[in-house]
Amino acid sequence: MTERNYWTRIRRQRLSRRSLLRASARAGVGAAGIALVGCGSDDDQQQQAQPAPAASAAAQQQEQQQEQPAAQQQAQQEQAAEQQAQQAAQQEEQQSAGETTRLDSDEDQTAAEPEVDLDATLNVAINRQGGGFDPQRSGSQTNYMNASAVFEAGMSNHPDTAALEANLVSRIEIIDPTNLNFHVAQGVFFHDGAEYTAADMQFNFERVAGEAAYHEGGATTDYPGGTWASARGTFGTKNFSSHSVPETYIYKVETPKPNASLAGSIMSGAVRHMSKAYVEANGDAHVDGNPMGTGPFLFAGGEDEVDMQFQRFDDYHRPRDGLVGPRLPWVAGLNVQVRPEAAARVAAIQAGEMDIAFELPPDVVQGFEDDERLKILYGPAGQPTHHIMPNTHLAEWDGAPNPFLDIRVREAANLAINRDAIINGLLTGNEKPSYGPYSGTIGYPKTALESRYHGYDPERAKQLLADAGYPDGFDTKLHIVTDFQTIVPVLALVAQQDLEAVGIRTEIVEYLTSEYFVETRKFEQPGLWWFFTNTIAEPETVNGSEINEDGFYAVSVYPDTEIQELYLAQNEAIDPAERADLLEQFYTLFYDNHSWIFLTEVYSASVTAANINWPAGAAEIRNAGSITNIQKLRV
Amino acid sequence: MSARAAAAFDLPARRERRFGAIRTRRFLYVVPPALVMVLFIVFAAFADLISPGDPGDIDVLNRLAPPVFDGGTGEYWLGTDNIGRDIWARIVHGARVSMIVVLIVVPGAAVFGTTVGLIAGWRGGIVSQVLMRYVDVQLALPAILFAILLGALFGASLRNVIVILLLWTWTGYARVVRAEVLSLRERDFITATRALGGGGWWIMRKQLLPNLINAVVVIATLEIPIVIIAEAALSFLGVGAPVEQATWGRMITEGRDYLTQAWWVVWLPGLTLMLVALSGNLIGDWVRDVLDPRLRNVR
Repeated sequence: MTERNYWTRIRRQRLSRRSLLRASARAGVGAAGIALVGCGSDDDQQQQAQPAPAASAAAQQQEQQQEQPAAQQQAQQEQAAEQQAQQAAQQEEQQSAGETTRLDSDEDQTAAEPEVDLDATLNVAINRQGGGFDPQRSGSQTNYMNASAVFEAGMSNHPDTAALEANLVSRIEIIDPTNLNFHVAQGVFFHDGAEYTAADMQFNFERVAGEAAYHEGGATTDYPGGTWASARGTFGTKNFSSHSVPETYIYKVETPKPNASLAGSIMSGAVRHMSKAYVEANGDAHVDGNPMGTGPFLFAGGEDEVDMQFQRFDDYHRPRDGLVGPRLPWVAGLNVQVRPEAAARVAAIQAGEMDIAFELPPDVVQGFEDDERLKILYGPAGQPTHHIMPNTHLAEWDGAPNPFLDIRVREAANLAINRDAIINGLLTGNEKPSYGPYSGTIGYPKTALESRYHGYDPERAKQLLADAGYPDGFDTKLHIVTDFQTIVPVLALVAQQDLEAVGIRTEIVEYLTSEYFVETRKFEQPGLWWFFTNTIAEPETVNGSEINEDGFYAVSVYPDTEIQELYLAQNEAIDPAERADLLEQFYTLFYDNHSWIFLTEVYSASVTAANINWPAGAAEIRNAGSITNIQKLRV
Repeated sequence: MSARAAAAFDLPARRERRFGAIRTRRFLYVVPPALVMVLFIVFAAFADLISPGDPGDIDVLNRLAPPVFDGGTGEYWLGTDNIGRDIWARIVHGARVSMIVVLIVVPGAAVFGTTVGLIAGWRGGIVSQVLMRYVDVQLALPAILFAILLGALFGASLRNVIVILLLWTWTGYARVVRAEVLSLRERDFITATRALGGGGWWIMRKQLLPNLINAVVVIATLEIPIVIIAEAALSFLGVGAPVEQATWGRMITEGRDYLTQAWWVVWLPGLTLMLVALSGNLIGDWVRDVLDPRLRNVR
């Protein structure tokens, strides 16, 4: 009997163990599926806003609008909202007729009841958010949602047309080629009720340059959690001979030489304006956790890498019925949640948990196109133009001569990339090859460059490499950032294969955003560096950082060419026609020099719930910059 | 003689027949997992023959092609992933990565962990206390977080995955071996050996180690699926093998955004991983039963 009990007990244990094993196997499969949806990293970028001297006409128009009392504007806006809601269906039809990149069905929109819910909270799913809430802090540069909601730049540009718009700067007065007066908009208030003046504007340029008096000694490396944004220097006071505040609403800047791009650069979204009194009274650490600006939303709370909450700033200075740029928001609140997986963000919208996700990879979103609960829009990504920069600062790579100092190697690398396959196979098919910086910039000679297209010719590439002394090719590294845009690691694998096919064998080195840009700026490691350009219309924002020999992301510099001379010349050409001509020469030479490995433009997708709408004529929902365009309709 | 009495005389034979049937049935249970493991080994050993070419070859114009049993063409019979890589080729070559990790980590951890456990159990005292407290500390650390930390510190590479898993898995051996040694050292044959002048190292090598082999083999067998899953988990989390390397974990992580439109990108490597891990567990279970006399004839 004892033996029988023993065997029984053992058998039970074994049965239990086997059952557990089987159950574990089943659970493993299930858990794998769940884990797949719940973990990981990926994409997303946003765009910044910006201007240029030629903005004067549009700026003056905005200034007139801003002179209306805010309360009166708000009452008018409430009425306008109602009227607009009734006309929404017709407007959407008109809007969609003019959109060439919109691939979702218009029936989805017209089916929604067009009653705008002004008390709604908009739920936005983003891929990541971290590094604090001070937009001048380097780590928080990725936190575009906070930057666009709470803060504003001096000027902005239409996300679709790049038309320049007034914002905190109502007008730019060009006294002479080296003297500018920035007229600050009146009636602009911070969230604490204080009025924004030229003194605040001056303070912000001093702050990003580490020269603000409150910051002892001007040191910025002691900033909590990291260093200051790369905007420091380029967009700060280093460009000025002097700057002052002669009147409450005038910020006067003098430059050492004519600077055609100055206004467009320093007033771009790279510098988001804060209250001098608030920062001086509370210090950097407090600002980093409690952002306060003049933007359309008040910061209500948030936690790094988890969420953010914002409330509409009812005293916001721009009217709700404008068609471009930030405006008094249509929604009462913003609830921003981090969802690292692109597919998980879309799934959250399908489930009704979220309303919007920006900057999603098109290849992921294409799987959701038949879902009538969703609206999908495709358009240029926040950083739409991708390229690879060989580090030409080093004469040697790992003890051997730097192969990319030879133009034949650079040409071979460009001929190795099959851009058509990338565009038609991986992307949406609407993208164009890249010819340099962002093609939407002022003076970009698109037609001239298209005629010089490198094309795809691997055989010629191999011949060029052989001529350059690399008949068997060579090995190097391809540095990429994995969590900036999801498409980058994917594109990198394709580029790696194309390059390897002609003999340029690369080992991919992966970085997170937080370390990649710091590493890129050092110019210390040999190899190829993946990079992008943003959608700011003023070309200096890219030229100054990526092409200019002193630029902080200028990994590929060519001192033996005339590129630098042309760069400097166009930047001093105040006459727009002359500048456009010099820019054409500059970009053409840069392209003919095979200065980068030019890749392609990249589109991204925005996905919204079916009851999300935006006014006719307004910028499409593309990124955080267009957040105030968005209406939530009652269902 | 009555029939009952005759049956009583025949008891050992009946018992033997019954145990024989048990062993046969148990052997039959282990055949399917053994076949899976054999396939796994064959894939790993002959990956280049089974699937010639580079598993990283990209065919962007054929991305997300379905497998043949879901409407696909024969060109990619298990379909392609999000950039047009052949899923079959990647599964086959991914087996090689897993096998390399297993072949290095499991014996490596077994040797090191057994040595530590042997010394700790034999020497006792402060040596045992120090070694076992370290083992306790390491076992108290969340293993996967520990691995991620090491992965983040040392970067993503197959070599680092192996080092991480070696550091992670040896403690299990050390603890079990020490417990066995504590028991064995009190046995008469050890006492007799010591009385005859046997030295510590000699006893450890010649007397204790042979008696530990069964336990070590059982642990090692059960560690195989754990190591395979751990490698996949590290690759899934981005701290494992580099991006160019075909591994099952990386295949799963790369496919997670395409679950809704291309189930095969995730499910096929996931299923492979599950089958191999399950088979490893079942074989480990069988090995334990075979090597443990108390369990040898248990149904």
